Formats: sequence, structure tokens, C-alpha cells
Amino acid sequence: MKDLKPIISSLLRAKMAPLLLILQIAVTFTVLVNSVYLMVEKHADITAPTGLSENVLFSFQIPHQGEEQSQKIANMYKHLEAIRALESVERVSIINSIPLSNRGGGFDIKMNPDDPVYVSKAAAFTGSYDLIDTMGVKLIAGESFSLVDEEALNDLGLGRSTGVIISKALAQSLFPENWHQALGSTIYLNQVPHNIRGVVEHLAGPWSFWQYKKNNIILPTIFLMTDITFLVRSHEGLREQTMKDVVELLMQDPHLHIDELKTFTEFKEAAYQAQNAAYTTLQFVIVGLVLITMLGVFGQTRFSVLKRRKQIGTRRALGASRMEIIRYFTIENLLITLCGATLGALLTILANNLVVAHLELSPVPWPYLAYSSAIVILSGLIAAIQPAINAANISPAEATRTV
Amino acid sequence: MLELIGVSKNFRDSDVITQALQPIDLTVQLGEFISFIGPSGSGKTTLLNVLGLLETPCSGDYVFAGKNVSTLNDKEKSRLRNREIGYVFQSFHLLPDFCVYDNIEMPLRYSKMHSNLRRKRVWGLLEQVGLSDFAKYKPSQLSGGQQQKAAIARALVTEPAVILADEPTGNLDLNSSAEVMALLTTLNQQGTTILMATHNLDLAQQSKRVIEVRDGVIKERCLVHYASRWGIEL
Repeated sequence: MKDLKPIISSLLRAKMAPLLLILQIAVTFTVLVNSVYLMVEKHADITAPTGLSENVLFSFQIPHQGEEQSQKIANMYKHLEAIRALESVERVSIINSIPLSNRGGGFDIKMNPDDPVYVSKAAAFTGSYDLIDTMGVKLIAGESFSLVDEEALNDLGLGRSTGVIISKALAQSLFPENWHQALGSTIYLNQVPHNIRGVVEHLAGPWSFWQYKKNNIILPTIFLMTDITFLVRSHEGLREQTMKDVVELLMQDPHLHIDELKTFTEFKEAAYQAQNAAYTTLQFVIVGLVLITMLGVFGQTRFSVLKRRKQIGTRRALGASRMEIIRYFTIENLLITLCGATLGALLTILANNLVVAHLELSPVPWPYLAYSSAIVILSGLIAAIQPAINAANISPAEATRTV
Repeated sequence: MLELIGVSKNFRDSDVITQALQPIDLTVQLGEFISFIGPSGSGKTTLLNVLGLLETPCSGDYVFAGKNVSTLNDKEKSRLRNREIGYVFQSFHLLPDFCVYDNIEMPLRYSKMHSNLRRKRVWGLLEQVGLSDFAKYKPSQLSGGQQQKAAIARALVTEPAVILADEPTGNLDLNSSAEVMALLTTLNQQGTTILMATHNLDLAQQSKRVIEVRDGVIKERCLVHYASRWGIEL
């Protein structure tokens, strides 16, 4: 660190340019930290496991407007049987709403009916008894539903005593210390008790933006809405073929309408469209910020080299090797970027405190300050390489030149 | 011994090539005090730069203490410059952000000498050139003469075999010039080889050997030649 003292002294002598660069790096750092944090959050959201066998699922709706309930149920089971008989179909179930479709319903969850406030919230999926198998959701505790649990009703069947299966995330929010305690426990949905008979590992909720999107409940009730939604699971790699087969099968009945024929992949893409756009925009913002930082450092180092050609020549004449000149400018640059990153970190902490206090948002976790510091310092070092090499190439004879 | 064998130096500026040194032969014995004289642009500084390994010759060989140094790489040349050659520049070239002590110490830092030894040697030289009281001063706080003394101390700090002085009194008043020349003469008497470029014959006469450089060609001259030409009393 023999160069540290003169570098600091030199920076203090002509402080305006380094000071402006430090400020630029600090502001860039603050924006960078938040952008990186948002980007990582978006990425985590987009790539979060849905728990479903995404590549083999598709769904469609059949409107049953004006039909008697018994007729509706008969037609529904007739269609289920016909579809199940298709060779390319592995499973088919009825479901009230498709995960990530932006349509669905939810409940406040209480552990005691007299509690004034809810413990958590959750969305409810209702449908055929084998819905879990059709979705491909993994049961990690307890038991699944059986055929005897299934019933078709004009509501969600909250009064039934079949029990419910919940997602692990919901179990964890109900029993933070040990989610296994959820199994066999009773929860209250609309003041009605339900025994938890199973827990599934992951299950995406109906809404990608909902705070409680990981909290979900499954009930074995076929909710007879006007439009019945079928969820079909094809054999691996045969989804397109299966969709075609199902459409051909159902179109044999000229009075039948099929709506909303969509793969689960399409639902997911639509649900995360905004998130994906924001993710891409943030990537551009981050690259732009890094480039701006690099340009600033490059300009400052280049200016510093041009201004000190004579001094560099003198150092070379006194015995400094090329590497020692490169090291000098690298340390100088490192000092500036470190000051900028430190000031930026302070600004970020200040901004965080304001955000947490006034907007009730979660603060940026500490590791992001470290990641962003690493990005800023690394990009600064890369930007300083070319001017530092230029400096090292200055001839020692520069010390004796008069022009 | 320093020996240039057929050494030449050209400078290229876009399409224009300037021959700063014609192929020359020169032998310098250790312990000599040589003045290179000649008008501006004659090639004095280029010759000193070649001798001091600041410039790489375009042709020829340079033998320094029995070793051909023309083929050394940058690191080896830097080490040789640092340990065997000291420079005194016309404009001193002290680094403005360092104090006098740090300026003098700098070549020792490049030679990776232990800090205790460095301290001892720098203080010894500060005493020798009479700048002990100015050790913590910045160069801008010193007079021209004091700055040049500091520069000489810096050149001497690695105890080099050769001191190269390019117009060492060019920016000094008469008194300071005399002090600097007295210092160089004393050093030579102590065994240091001094190679000085100057166009001042009064100074040149204090050296033991005078070499005229003109249009990149060197000619050995005795001082009488100049004394008669310019009417100097020897």
C-alpha cells in the first residue's frame, strides 16, 4: 500500500473531478441495489415452483347455461368419461379455477372461530377427488381424497366433513415452528371447521400478484358453476395431440361449445407477463447503470493519466515497472469506487429506512449491498484497465521531453 | 564501463522520420565526469536517454558494466534504471504530491528495500544536501536550488554507479548552479560517474571530458577548442 498516501494526496489536490465521480457512483449504486433486489425478486417470482406438471396440462370450459342441475352433472360425467377414454389422456378432472388464471376465490383462515382476526388467508381449489394427481401436485404428508369424498354441489361444499388438503406454505404460516403439526389440526373457513388431512409441497394460487399466493386449500367438491372447467393431463410430450383429440371428440356433438382452451404454460405466461416485462426492463437498467459507471471511471482515469504523463515518465525513470504504474492507477480507481460504493450504501440504508417507515415495504436485504458493491468495484476495475495500460506504456523518456 | 556500439535513434512522427542520433560509438569509463555539449536539438538529451535506458536505440548495442542491455525486457530495464542509474532533470521533476522525504525515498520503494534501511539512507542524503529541515516540505514550498538538491538526493539514494544530469542548472540562479555543480563534482570525486548534458561551457569546463553532440553525431573535444572559439579563459 505504498502508493496509498500519495494517491489520496493527489486526489485531494484536484478533488472536483473525483468528487463528482464518487457522487455519480453513489447515486448509481443506490439505484443499482434496488434494481438488483427488484430483479432478483421478480426472477424468484417468475421461476417459483408452481407444483404442477406444467408441460402436460391444459384446460377448457364447457358452458352449461340453462341446463338443469341433474342434466349438468350427467353431461359433465359423460364428458369426463369420454375424455378419460382417449389414449393420449393420462388424467382429467373438474376444477373451479386454474392456478395462475387470475380467477378464483379465497378465505380468511382462523384457528378458532371466535378469533377476531384471521391467522392467514388462502385461495381454494375445488374439484374432482383426483385433482391432485391430475395437477401433478406432490403430497408430502397425510392422505389424498378418494372417490367417496367427491360430490357435485352448487357451492364450495364448506359444510362437508371430507377434510381439506393444504399447501405447505399455508401449513408453515399456521404453524411457523413446525408445519407438520398442521396435519390433523382443525382450521375454520367461514366459521366452518375443516380437518387438515393432507399437505402438498407446492401449489400456485390463482393470482400471481397476491400476497398469499402460496397459501392454497383443496376441497373434493365439484362446484357446479355455469361453465364447467376441465383440467386435462396428457401423457408426456403429447399435449398438443391430446388437445386436438379432445376437441375432435367434443366437436362430435354439434351443440357443444368449448371455451378457453389453453395450456397451463399459456396461463403462466399471461400471469407473469408484466413481471417478465419488468424483469427485462430491470436488466436493461442494470446494464445501463453499469455502463454509466464504467464510462465515468474510464473518463476519470484517462483524464488522470493524460494530466500526469510527466509524473508517470519520472516514476518510470526512477525504476517503476509497467506493473507498478498499472497498480498505481488501479488503486486510485479502487479508492474512488470504494468511496462511491460506501456513500451509495449509506444512501441506500437511508432510503430503505424511509421506504420501510412510510411505504410499509420490505427493506433491501444486506447481501444486496455486497452484491452491488462487487458489481460497481468490478466494473470500475475493468473500466480502468485500458487507461492504466496506456499509462504503463508511457516511455520513461517522457520525463525529459520538453513538449 | 559503458559502451555504445553503432547505436542510433530515430523518431517517427507520422510520415516524418527524424534521425536524432547517427550510429555512434562511445566508451565511458566508470568514475568519469563527462559533459555533452551542443545546441538545442543536437541530440544531447537523446544520447543521455539512451545511456540511461530511457530510450531504446533503433540499432546497435549498449553494453553496461559488461552486459549487453539492448535486449533486456521492461522489468529488467526498470530494475537496472532503479539500481544503477540516477537522473537529475532540468525541471527537477519532483512529484508534487509527495514531500521531500517521500520524493527521495521513492526509488528505494521500487527497489523493495526494508523501511529501516530506507529511512537511514534518506536521512543521510538529506543531511548531505542540506535539506534535513525541509524533509516534510512539499516541492512547491522549496526554492529552485533546494528542489534540484532534493532531485540530486533522489538520484543518489540507490547509490547508483552513474548519474545522468540533463541541464541540471538550466532553471537555477548562479548561486544555486554553483552549489549544484559543487555537489556533482564532489560526487564524482567520491567515484560516481557523472554524465551531464549542458550548453553552458562554464559548467562543462568543470568536467574531465567534453563531448560535442551536433546533428546526432559526437565529437570528442578538448576544452581548449571551445576556449579559443568562444574566448573563454581556462
